[in-house]
Amino acid sequence: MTRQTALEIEAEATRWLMRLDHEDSLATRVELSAWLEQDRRNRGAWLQARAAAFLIAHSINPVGSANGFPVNAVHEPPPMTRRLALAGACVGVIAAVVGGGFYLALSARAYRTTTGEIRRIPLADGSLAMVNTDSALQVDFERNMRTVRLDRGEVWFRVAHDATRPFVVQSGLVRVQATGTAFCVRREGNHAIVDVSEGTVEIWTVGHEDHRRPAVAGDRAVVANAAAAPPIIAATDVSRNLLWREGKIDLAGRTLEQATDELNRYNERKLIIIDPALSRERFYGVFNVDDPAQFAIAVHDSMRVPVHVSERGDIRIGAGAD
Amino acid sequence: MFGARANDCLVRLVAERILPHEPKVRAWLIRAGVSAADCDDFIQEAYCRIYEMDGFERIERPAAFFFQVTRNLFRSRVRHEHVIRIESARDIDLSAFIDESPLPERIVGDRRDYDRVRRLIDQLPDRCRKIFTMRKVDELSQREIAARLGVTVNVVENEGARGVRLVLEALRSEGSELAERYDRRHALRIRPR
Repeated sequence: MTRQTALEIEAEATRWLMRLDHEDSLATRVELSAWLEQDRRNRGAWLQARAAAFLIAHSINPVGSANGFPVNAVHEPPPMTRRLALAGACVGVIAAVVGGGFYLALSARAYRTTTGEIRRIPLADGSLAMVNTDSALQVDFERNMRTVRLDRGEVWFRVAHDATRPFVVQSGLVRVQATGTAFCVRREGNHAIVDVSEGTVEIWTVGHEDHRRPAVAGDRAVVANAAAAPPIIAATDVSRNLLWREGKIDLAGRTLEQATDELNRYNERKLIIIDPALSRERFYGVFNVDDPAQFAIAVHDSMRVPVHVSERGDIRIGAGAD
Repeated sequence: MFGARANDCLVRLVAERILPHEPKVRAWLIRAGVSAADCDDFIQEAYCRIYEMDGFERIERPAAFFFQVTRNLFRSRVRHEHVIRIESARDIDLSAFIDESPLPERIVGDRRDYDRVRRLIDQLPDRCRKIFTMRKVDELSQREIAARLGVTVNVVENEGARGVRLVLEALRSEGSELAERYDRRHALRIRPR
């Protein structure tokens, strides 16, 4: 039997399309699914043809009417609504807590999250902390100073404005100060990463106060913990970096190695790359941080590499995985 | 219309976020030295992967992902064949920037891609567009359309299928043209030396 060409399959797919449109009966569907079962290429052609038919049906321009091409096709979905919702929630917290007027009495409190846990903590001054996986922090609010010590991990803050009480995050020797601002601090072995989502912060390291630098909304600063070097500040896609607050990660061209390191932060069930040659392959797409299996399957599908997913335990990627 | 129920969400996603960018992915394949027939195979296979994939709806940059799938299919083919034929100096040049053009980032959200598809659809033959309009806008059945046009249902069916094929065909030749245009621009840039 000679192999059907892609074009022949395509022609068949379009005939199926019209046939199903004409006569959507159980018999037609049974026959159609038999055809789809027959060859995986049939399934590809079917999806492609249906998509083309969808476009024609939705952008066909009846005489004298506006073109009906779907508008939202042109835009990435805006992340704005969730932000607004968060802001709304924050206002509520401020009203409840500041209104109560008992924030002066609070002393230091410790918070921590376990692997995979993402926690939203309203602070006593009306600020909000979103604590990422495997993190530990200590919050100490005094009369003229608000201090948060980040011992481990990553926290995003929406700081309630209070000019009389600066809000300072300590990550090792790194200091980040804000008044009314939203920003994220991530503590790493020998440095801290600061993403500013609103307003301005000031960043410095203890002992190098002369290197104090401002960072504004949209900036990412990388600050060495002990070195005398000033913070390195560059524009970034902050909302992408902060997707973890929704339990997601946008890989946006990161290597497989970086992606697995990142996902492993959130899961006891670790992803392991067996084949080092794969480590530098780049990846795109948004994934759920708590679903390493979903990611492994996407790797398998897009790169055609073996992936071994066991019920419990690690997930191995690359030749020799199974 | 057109096979309702199963995977409607996926079809819509593919229609709006992948299909308009398909020519660029084709252009990349052509520039990588893939023949027209193999090109069709790769694209079909890539759609199949999307069809079979779990949770594709959750991927935020579908076109970039589609490009990545196609590129990986191509790469693993090259890897399996063990031999990469380099027949001329031109091929060596080509392979040097295969990875740079087009970047996945450039594929997504390019408005011109959408405008192009819209134009392609506007250029469908009159009878074809008439049939789609009657079916979609006036919501007539194929039988009713056949009666109005004074033809058999078979003709309506064939004409509809032809319309879909014409759009796919247009995307295909758009891909070749993109590749050629890119080659020409590159050739012009090199010549003065």
